[in-house]
Order: sequence, then structure tokens, then C-alpha cells
Amino acid sequence: MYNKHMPQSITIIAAKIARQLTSLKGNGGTALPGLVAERLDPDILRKLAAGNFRDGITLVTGTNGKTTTALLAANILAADGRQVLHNHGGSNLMRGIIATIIEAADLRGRVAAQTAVFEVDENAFVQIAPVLQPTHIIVTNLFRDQLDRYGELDTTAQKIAAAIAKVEGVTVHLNADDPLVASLSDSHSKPVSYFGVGDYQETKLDDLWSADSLTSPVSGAPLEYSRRFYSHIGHYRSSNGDFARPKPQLEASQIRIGDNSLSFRTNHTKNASITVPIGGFYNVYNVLAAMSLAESLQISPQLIQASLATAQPAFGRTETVQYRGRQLRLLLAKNPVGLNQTIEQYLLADPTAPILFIINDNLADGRDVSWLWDADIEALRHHSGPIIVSGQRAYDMALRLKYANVVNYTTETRIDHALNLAAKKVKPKQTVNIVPTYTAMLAVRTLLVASGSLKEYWR
Amino acid sequence: MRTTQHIQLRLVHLYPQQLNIYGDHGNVVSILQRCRWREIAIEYHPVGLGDKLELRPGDIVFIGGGQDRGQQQVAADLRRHGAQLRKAVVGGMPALAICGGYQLWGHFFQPQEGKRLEGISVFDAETVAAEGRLVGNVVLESKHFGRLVGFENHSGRTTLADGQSELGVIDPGPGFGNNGVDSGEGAIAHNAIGTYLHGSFLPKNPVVADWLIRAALAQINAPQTLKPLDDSLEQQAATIAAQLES
Repeated sequence: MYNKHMPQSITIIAAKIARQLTSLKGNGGTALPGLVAERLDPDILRKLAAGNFRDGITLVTGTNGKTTTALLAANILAADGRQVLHNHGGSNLMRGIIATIIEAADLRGRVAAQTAVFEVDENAFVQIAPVLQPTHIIVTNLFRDQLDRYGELDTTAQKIAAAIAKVEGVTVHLNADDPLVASLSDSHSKPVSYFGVGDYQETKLDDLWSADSLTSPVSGAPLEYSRRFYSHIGHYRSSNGDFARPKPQLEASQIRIGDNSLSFRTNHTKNASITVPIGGFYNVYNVLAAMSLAESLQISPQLIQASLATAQPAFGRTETVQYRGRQLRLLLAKNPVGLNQTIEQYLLADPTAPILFIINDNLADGRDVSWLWDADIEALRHHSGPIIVSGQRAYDMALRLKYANVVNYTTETRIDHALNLAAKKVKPKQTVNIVPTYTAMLAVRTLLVASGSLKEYWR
Repeated sequence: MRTTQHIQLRLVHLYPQQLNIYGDHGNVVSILQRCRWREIAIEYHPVGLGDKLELRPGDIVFIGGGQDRGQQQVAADLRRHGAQLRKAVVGGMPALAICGGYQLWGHFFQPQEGKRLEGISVFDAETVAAEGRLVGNVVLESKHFGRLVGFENHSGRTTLADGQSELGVIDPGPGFGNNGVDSGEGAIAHNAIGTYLHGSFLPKNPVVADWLIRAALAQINAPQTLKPLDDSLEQQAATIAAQLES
């Protein structure tokens, strides 16, 4: 089908028609137009990027926090008066990014936005970064995730490092507290800006089962932690001294975490505290990553602060929704580290509130449900509120609860029934914590849209 | 009911820091809980790089799966314990080796990059990595255990020598098994099992967990009749897993 003389406008028109057709079907699929364009012209992404975004492109990659970080960063840039293109639908593979650009482009492929913030799947990054030649790259963290699709975590890290080396004139923003991410600076000579957390309480969970990078990437010597905030995130040094946490340029301290808010100070904002209406300690890193980018673009501290103060949670990430007069909170779970953070930050906070686990095993969720066993479900053994398990692999989750000595649960494989059951069991002023895998989250959102509780996200 | 309370079994977990990537915690939890629910005293005993290993009757040895880096880190250290582990297995000690651990319990593992890792030859098997990972749901028939279910994800192709028994056969599957060619999956020698299955393996295949526990009890001449547990949830989860596509 590919013809190198194919005019770009024809590729764009074909993709735009595909976009119209998919939106008629109402499934919000943002990737198909990108797939069409990629088939017609495999070089389309490079061409689209080359003629656009004179103020540069930022790519956000990593295992957890991509969507939130990209959203926060795009909002700050917009608050600074820039026109920003952003793949807010979370469509973060090659075709998703192509589709995002084409949707915003005229028939000659020109986009009004002068800058772009794209979240990029950590395994697609190796193809995308060299083509887009971003001016900034943010790497949030690297944890085990969907090993059935991507194989080993070390391979992912090596590929990210190799892709960074192929980008000219880029500044890289790395999480100093993640040893595997921090080690990404070793294999290239690009300018690096580290962000990290100076001080916070250590995790109370038994969560080492989900930690993957507890040895020095240089020698394999064990890492010793003076502070370990969660999983392999913290202040580390290898036992033989060949590898240690780099000193971050941007460091947070005096951190306060609430259900729906967080605040901290940084070494750059000693006199003013940063407050963000999003909960969860792990989100401090996402905020720092966005701040690191904004500071290097010389955006004023007041603007950054003001933009963060009005932030909203991203799609399914600690988002709260009203459903039949009850409050629900969506807590997307993709991997054991993320699930542990959800347990520690939200599920343990109210031991009487209903919990609804919805575990699917479609390709986008990861076909392998082994990861449920590496999360510290044992921490829920004192939970007294109702627990409902649902989804295609409801029985795997039930089994996980059984072996964690959590006995007070109900199995309801149908998601719609499970949602109604949870809503029935919640008491006034309580919040149902819904913990879905990715496709389960989409299914819940579809139900919430049908009931009028949520607006269609895609339009 | 109290008679077994004083019995001290140990779950000896080799290299939990380096080899733990595919839900290996599930296998640990399964053995510990199925003992505790029956009031069989069992102690969890992790053994790390450079640690001393002193096996004794009543031990169940477990080694999990890891990344190539993890395997490289433990291979030499594991060889220090090779003779002791081989002797214990011949003497009937129960053991379970998953994925990367299984590969190192054969004669060698040749990764796609880097040098060949010599194993400890508990199993008469050799593993060579190849392009294309073998990934997906697995259902196998084992003449020892009946139907077993799990999930596999490996680049290594394992070939068993003539005379080395497999754990089971993938027929009709889904699954690739040892090498995706000869339909064999895993290996079994005395009371030691090697397999590519995780998912996790023991929680959905409690018959294997109980077999390991019984073998450990036999080693200390304790009664091997296990109090029956209600495994209907385990069966249900396994039945659903058995209906999945590859």
C-alpha cells in the first residue's frame, strides 16, 4: 500500500476519515487513524514533527505516572500562554501519537500548537524518540509491568538509554530516587536534571516482592537504602560504593499527603509551598517531574504554582465520580508497585469503606495475572468493609485474598452487577474505592457514562 | 490435632532478591498458608547471595524466576551449593524451581547475549535462549498431578536428555512448554520439580503444593496424611484459567 510519492495530504485525509468513522461508532478509539496513516506512509510521524512545534516537544515515559505527569506539564505550559498539543487520551504508542497530531493538523499537516507534550509507552519509546527528536525527555520510574508483552525490565531500560543517545540537543529529566532510572544517564552525555524527594516516611507495607532494582546497575552489588519510600524508590548507595543516588537539582521536602491533595516545599521554593489537589505520595514525583520541565523552560514559579493548584486527576487515576448518589473513586491498577501505592494511600485509609477489585486479562491489562501475588494484599487483613471481586479473572483475585487471610469478600464476575453491589453497600459520606485494571477501568467508565454519572471523555 | 504442631518444616527460598519476577511470592504464600491452615509449623528461610546453606530434613527448597541480570548474579553462588542440593534431591528432598531457577537447575543456560551460565545439574536438561519469547497461558497434563495450569514467559528453550522425565505434556494446550517443539513441559526428578509455569503456579495447582509438603513430612518421618482443605476456589480459578486462549 505504501508509495513514497504519496502526498502527505492524502495520508492525512485518509486518517481524518478514519477518525470520523471511529467516532461514529462511539468507541473513542483514537489509535485507528494513526494506524491508517502509518500504513500509508511509515515516515509520517517524522514528517509531521519536522514541520511543527517550533518550541520543541516533551516526551514523558516510564512505568507509572506518565499520564499524570504529561497532564500536569501540558497544563503548566498552557498556563504560560503556549498552545500545547497533548495526547490526553493516553494513546501512547506510535499510532496514537500520529493520530493526535493528525487530528489537530490541517490538510497540509500544519498544527497550530507551537509545542507538544506526549506521554510515550516505555517500550514504544525506542522507536518514537529518535523520530520525534524531542527537546525534553522525562522518565518517571521503571517497575515490572506487563512482562507478557515486553519481557524484561532491564531490556526496557537499555532501550530507553539507547534511544536517548539518538536525540540531539535534548535535556533529560530523571527520577533520582529510582536507581534504574538514575542509571539511564550513564550511557549518554546529554544534560540531565534530576528530581527527587528529600524526606518522607518509609513505606509500612511488606513491598519488597515488587522491587526490581535492588542491585547496582554497574556491578550487581546490593543497594543499601538509608530511606526507602516505596518499592525500590528512595535514597540508595551500593555496598561497594560504585553507584549512588545522584543529588537532585529539584528536591521536595515537608511533604503532606491528604486523600485528595498533596503539598510540599522544594529547595527552589523554600518560602512557598506547592499545593496540588491530587492525593497519593507517588504523585509528588509526577509533580516534581512537571516542575523540573517547567523550570528548565524558565516558566515563573508563580505560574507553575498557580497551575498546579488547579490540577485535576488524570483519567482513572484517583478520579472521583458521583454514581446514584454515592461517591466512587477510580484507582487504576496495572502492576504490583502501583497497586501497593493504592493500598497504602487509599485502601488502608478507610478500613470500613467498600473496595471493588476488577481484574481483566486482556492484552492492554497484561495477560499474566501473576503480579497480583507480588502486591501486599496481606495489608488488607484488617479491612472490615465489604470487598467485591469482579472481572474476567475475579477468581484469581479471590484466591489472592484467600491466601492473604482476607476472608470477607464477594465474587461477582459481571462488572455491572459488581458496581451496583458496591454502590448499594457504601454508607453515606463513604467512598467506594474501585481498583480496576486498564480495560476494566474503561468498562466501568462506559457504565458510568451510560448512567449519566460521567461525561464522555473523548469528545 | 496438636500432634503436628511441633513439627518444624522450612521453606528455603533461594535468592528472593534476584529471582522473584513472575509472582513467585504466590508460590511462597501457597506453601506457607497450606501448612499453617493445617497447623503444620513451617518457617520461611530466605537464602541470599553469599549466605550459608545448611539443608536439613523437612526442608522444601524453592527458587523463582528472574531477569537475565538476576540469573547472572546468582549462577556462580548457586554452584557453591550444587553438590549439597543434588545430594538432597537424590535423598528425596522436595524442591520447586520456576523459570530462570529451573534453567539454572539444569546443566547450563546460554542467554542470547553474554556468556553461558553453568547450572547445577539437578535436572538432566540444557537451555539455550533464542529469538522470540514463548509467552502465554499453558494447560498441561501431568501423569503425576493431572491437569496443571499457568502462564509462561521465557526466551530459553530447554531440552531434556533421554531418561529425564518431563513434568507433563502440552496436549492440546495452549502453551509452548520446554521448547515449543516436543510438547514436553518442565522436569521432575525424585521430589524436585522444574517448570516454566507461573501465574502463580502453586495457588492454582494446590495438588503440587500438597505433594511438596507431604514429601517434606516424609523426610522427617512424620505422618503424611494431610488434613483436607476446601479447594473449591482454587479449582474454580484453575478451571477458568484452563479455558483461556494462549
